[in-house]
Amino acid sequence: MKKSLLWVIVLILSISIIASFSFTGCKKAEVVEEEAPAAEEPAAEEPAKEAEVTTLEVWSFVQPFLDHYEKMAGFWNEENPDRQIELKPTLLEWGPMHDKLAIVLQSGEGVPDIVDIEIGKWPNFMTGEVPFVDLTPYAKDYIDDIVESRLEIYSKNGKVYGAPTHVGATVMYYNVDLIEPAGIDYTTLITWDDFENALRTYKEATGKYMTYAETYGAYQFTYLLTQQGKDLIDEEGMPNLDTPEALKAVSLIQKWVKEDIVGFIPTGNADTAEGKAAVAAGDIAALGYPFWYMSRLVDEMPNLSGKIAIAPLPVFEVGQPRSVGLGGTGTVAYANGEHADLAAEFIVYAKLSPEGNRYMWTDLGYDPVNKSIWGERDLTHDEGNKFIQYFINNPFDVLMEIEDEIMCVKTMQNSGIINDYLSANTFNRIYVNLEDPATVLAETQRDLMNEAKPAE
Amino acid sequence: MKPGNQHTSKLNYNPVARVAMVIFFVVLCTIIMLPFVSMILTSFKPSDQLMRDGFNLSFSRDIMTLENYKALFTNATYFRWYANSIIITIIQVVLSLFVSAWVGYGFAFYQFKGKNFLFVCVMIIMMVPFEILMLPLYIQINSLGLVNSIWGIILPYLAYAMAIFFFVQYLKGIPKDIVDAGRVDGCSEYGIFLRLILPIMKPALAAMAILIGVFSWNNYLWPLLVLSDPAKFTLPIGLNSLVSPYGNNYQLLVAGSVMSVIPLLILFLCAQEHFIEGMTSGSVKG
Amino acid sequence: MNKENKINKRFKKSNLNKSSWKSILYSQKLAPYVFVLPFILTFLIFFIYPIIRTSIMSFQDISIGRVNFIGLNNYIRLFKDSTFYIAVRNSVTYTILTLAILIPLPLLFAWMLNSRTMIGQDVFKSLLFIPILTSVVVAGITFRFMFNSTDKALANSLVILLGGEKIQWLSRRWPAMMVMVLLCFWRWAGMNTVYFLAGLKQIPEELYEAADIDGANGWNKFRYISLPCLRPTMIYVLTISIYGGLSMITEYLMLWGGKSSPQNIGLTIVGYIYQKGINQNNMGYASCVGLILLFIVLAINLVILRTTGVFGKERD
Repeated sequence: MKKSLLWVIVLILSISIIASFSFTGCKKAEVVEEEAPAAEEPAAEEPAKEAEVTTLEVWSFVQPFLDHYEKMAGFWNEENPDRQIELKPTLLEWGPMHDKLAIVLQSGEGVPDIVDIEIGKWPNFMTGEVPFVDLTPYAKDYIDDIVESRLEIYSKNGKVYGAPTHVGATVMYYNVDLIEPAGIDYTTLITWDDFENALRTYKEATGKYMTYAETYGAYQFTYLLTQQGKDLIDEEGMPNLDTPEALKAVSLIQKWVKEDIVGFIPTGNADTAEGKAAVAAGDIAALGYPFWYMSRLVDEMPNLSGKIAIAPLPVFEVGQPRSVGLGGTGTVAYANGEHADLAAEFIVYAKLSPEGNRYMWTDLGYDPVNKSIWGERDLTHDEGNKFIQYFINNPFDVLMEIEDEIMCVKTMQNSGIINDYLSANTFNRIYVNLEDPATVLAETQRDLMNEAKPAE
Repeated sequence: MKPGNQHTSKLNYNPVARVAMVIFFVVLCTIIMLPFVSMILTSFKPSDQLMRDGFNLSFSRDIMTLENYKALFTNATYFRWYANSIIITIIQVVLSLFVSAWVGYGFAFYQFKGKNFLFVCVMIIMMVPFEILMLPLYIQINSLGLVNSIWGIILPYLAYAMAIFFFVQYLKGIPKDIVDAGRVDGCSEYGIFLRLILPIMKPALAAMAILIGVFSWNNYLWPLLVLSDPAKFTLPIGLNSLVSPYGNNYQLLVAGSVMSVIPLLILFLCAQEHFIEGMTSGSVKG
Repeated sequence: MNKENKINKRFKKSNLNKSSWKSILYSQKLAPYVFVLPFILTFLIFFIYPIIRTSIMSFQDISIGRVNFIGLNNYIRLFKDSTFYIAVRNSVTYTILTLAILIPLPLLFAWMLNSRTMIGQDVFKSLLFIPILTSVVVAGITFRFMFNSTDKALANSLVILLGGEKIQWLSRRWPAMMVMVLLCFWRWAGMNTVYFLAGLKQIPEELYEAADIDGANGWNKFRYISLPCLRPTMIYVLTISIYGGLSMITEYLMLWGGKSSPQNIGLTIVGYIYQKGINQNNMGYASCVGLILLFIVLAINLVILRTTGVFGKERD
C-alpha cells in the first residue's frame, strides 16, 4: 500500500517533470520561430544580396559585456548589411570560464570565436604561440585615441591581442553618509597621513572601521606601490617584491591593523559577492577601487545612491601619481576560428570605436579607453545618466583631474602566479598573522623566483 | 520490516538504554538535518540576504517569499541542466551496472589465467584517485573525439571498479550449482549470465544503482572538463555557475540547490529496502 | 544413395558451422576473457595509458601549441615548492582526520542501530543517509554559507549562542580544516553506517547466542564477536576513505568559490594539480604533482593490503 502510493507519487512527479521539459521545449521552439523571420527581414529588403548571417560564438564571464556585444552587433548589422553577424553568447563563471578556455585551446576543439579574458588570467594565455588574432591592423583607425598603456597590457612582442574594456583608473569611493557625521571631509584627505587620521577619527566616532586591509587580490598593494613608482615585476617580468617600496606599502597597512583602525572584509576582497554585501551594508566607508566599481555600486547597491563621492586616492607625498589602471578584460578573437577576420573586426568595432566606447560609459559605467570621447560634455555630464545621478560629484571631473597621473602596471608571464601567491599567502601573513613584513616579502620573493618563468 | 538477525534477545532489552539511544539518534539526525533546514529556509528568503547573512535558521513570515521558486520555474536553462543530468545519470547507471555486473560475473564464476592479476588491477583502480589522471585522461578523451559528448563523461566509468568489486563479493555468496544447472539445460555461457545470474543479482543491482546514481548525478569535476557547451551542462556545473560574482543569480542558486536533491531522494526512497538488502548481501566477505 | 550422402554431408557441414559458432558461445575457456574484456579495455585505455602519458608530460613544459622537453626541471622546482608541501600537509591531515572520525562513529551508529533495544532503525538510517544524496557542489555551497564569517550565519550564531566569539571559519587554518572534515562527515557518515550495518547483519546469530550463554556483556560481544567479524568491512571502508581523503578537491573549490584559500589552508594535492594544470595552464608541472601523489597513494595502499593480507586471501 505504502509502496504503491510512493510509485504513484514518482509517476506524477516524473510526468510533471517531463511535461515541464516539453513545455520549455515548446517555448524555445516558439522563440526560434519568432526570431527567424526577424533575421530574414534585411534579406527581404535587399533581395540582391544573400543574407549570409555569420554566427560568432562569444564567451564571457560578465553578463553586461554580452549585452554590450549584442547591442553593438545590432548596429554592426545596420552598417554592414552584406556581412550580417549573429552572436551566440555564453555566460560562464569567472573561474570555470578561463579553465574551460585553457582546456579547449589545448584541444583546439570547441573554441569560441570571441572571448573575454580577465587580466588576472591573461598571462596564462600568452605563453607559447598565442592563439589569438593580432588586432593592430584592424584597429588602425582608432589606435591613436586609445589609452596606450591599456593596449600594452594586452600585447606581446608588439602585437595587440586583446581589446581593452576600460582604463580602470583607481579612485577612492567615500560613503559620505557615513563619514560626514564622524566629522570627516573627504576632500581634505590628500596624503595617507591625512587618511590615517581620518581612520582614527572614524573608529573613535563610530566604533567601526572606515576601510579594510585587502587580503585577497592585490589592488591596495598595487596602488600603494605604483604611487612610489614601483611595479610588482621588473623589466624582464620577474617578481620584484623584496623592494623598500613594497615594504613601505605593506608596513603602512600592517601598522593600521595593529592600531586597530582598519578591519577586514569577508573573503578579503570587495568585488566578491560577500564583499559587495558588506559594502552595501555600510561596513566599509572608504574603498580604494578602480573606476569600474561604479557599475557594481549602481547596479547592485541601489541603497547607496546619492551617498557616494568619488575622489582621487591619497598619496604618500604630494606630487606622486594619484591613480593606476587596475583590473580589466581583454577581448580576443581565436586565430584558428573559421571567422577570425570578422570576429577581430567586430571586436575592434564593439570595444575600440568611439561608438562602442560611448556605450561602455552610458551602459556599463566604465572609463572608456577611447579618449576621443572624454571631451564630449553632453556625454560626460548628461544628467539623465544613471551613473552620474548616483554619485555626489561627477565621475568624469575626477577622471579628468587625474588624467595624466594614471599609472600602468605591467602584465607579463609571471603576473598570474604572483597574484595567486600574494592573495593566498603574503597579505594574510602580514595583515592577519601580523608577521614581520620584511621576512614575509623576502620569502615571497624566494618562492616566486622558484616558480617564475623567464620571459620568452 | 522483518527483523534482521539482531543480536540481543527480545526479552532482556533495557528501557533506559532504549530511551538514551533514541534521544541520541534524534539529536544526531537533527544536527544532520540542520544544513537542509537552513538551505530550505534560505530558499524562501530574498536573495540579497544570502551574501550578507549566509544560511541561518531565522525566519519571519513577512520576508518569506516564493519569488525564488517563481524565478526558478520560469528559467528554461535550469531545467535544461536538470534534463541533461537526468539523461546522463540514467544512461550511466544502466550501462555501468550492466558492464560491471558482466565483468563481475567473469571474475566470480571462472578460473582463468591472469585472474588474480586482473583482480588486483581492479583493486588498484579502486584505490587510485581518478582526479590524479584527469589531465592526461582529458587529452585522451579529446583524441578519441569525445569532448563535449556524454560518452566522454560515461566511458571512463563504464567498467566501474567499485561496482565490479561489489558484484564479485555478492556473487561469491551464490552457489555454483546454478551455473552448472544452466549448462546442463543447454544455456550458453552468456545465456547463463543473462537469464540466470542477472535476475538473482537484483538486490545488488539496486544497491549499486543508488551508488552509481548518486555518483553520476553529483559528479562535477569530470563533466566540467569534458563539456564545454553550456547547453550540455549538468546540474552541478550549472548550479556552481550561479555563484558568479558578476551576476545576481543567487535567487536561483539556493532554490535550484533544493530542487536538485529531489530526484535522488525519490530514487532512494523507492529503492531503500532493496538497497540495504543488497548492501548486506554484497558486503565484503572475509 | 549418392544424393543421400550429399544431403548428409551438407547437413554435417551446416551442423559443423553451427557447432563452431556454438562452441564459441559455449566455450568455458573463452568465456571468462569475454566477460572481463570491458575491464581490460578500461584499464588499458583509461588507466595505464594516462599514467604513461602523465609520466611523459611531467618532463615537459607544455603551453598552447608548443611542447618542450625540460628534463627534471619540473621535479627540481616541485622539490623547492613550499605550496606543494602545504598541499601535501593539508591532504594528509584531512585524510587522517576523516579516518579518525568516519570509522569509529559510523561503527558506533551501526552497532546501536543494529541493536534489538533500538526502535525506529529505518527512519534514523534513512535520515543519516540523505546527505550523501546532495552533490558536493550543493553541500559545499551550503557549508560555505553556513560557515560565513558574519555573526548571523548558522555556525557563528550557534557559537555566539553558546557564549563564544564569532569565528572566521574559512580564513583560519584549523577552523577551515574543521569545516572540511565536518562536510565530509555530514555527507559520508550515513554511507559508512550502512556499510557497517551490512557487515553486522552478516554475523550469524548463533555466535551471539553462544556468547549470551557464556554470560558475555554487550561490550564483550562487541569486542570479541562483532569487531573481528567486521574486519573485511573495516578494510574496505578504510580503503575508500583514504581514496576519498586524498582525492578531495570539489569541496575545496566550493568552499572558497574556486579561488585560492587564505594561506592555502584548504589547498589539497588534487586541488594543486587543478590549480597548476588548469588555472595556470601548466600541465607539465601538474603532471609532476600528480605522479608524486600516485606514488604516495600506491605506497599507502600497498602497506594496507600487505598488513591486512587482502592480497593473500584473493589468491585462494
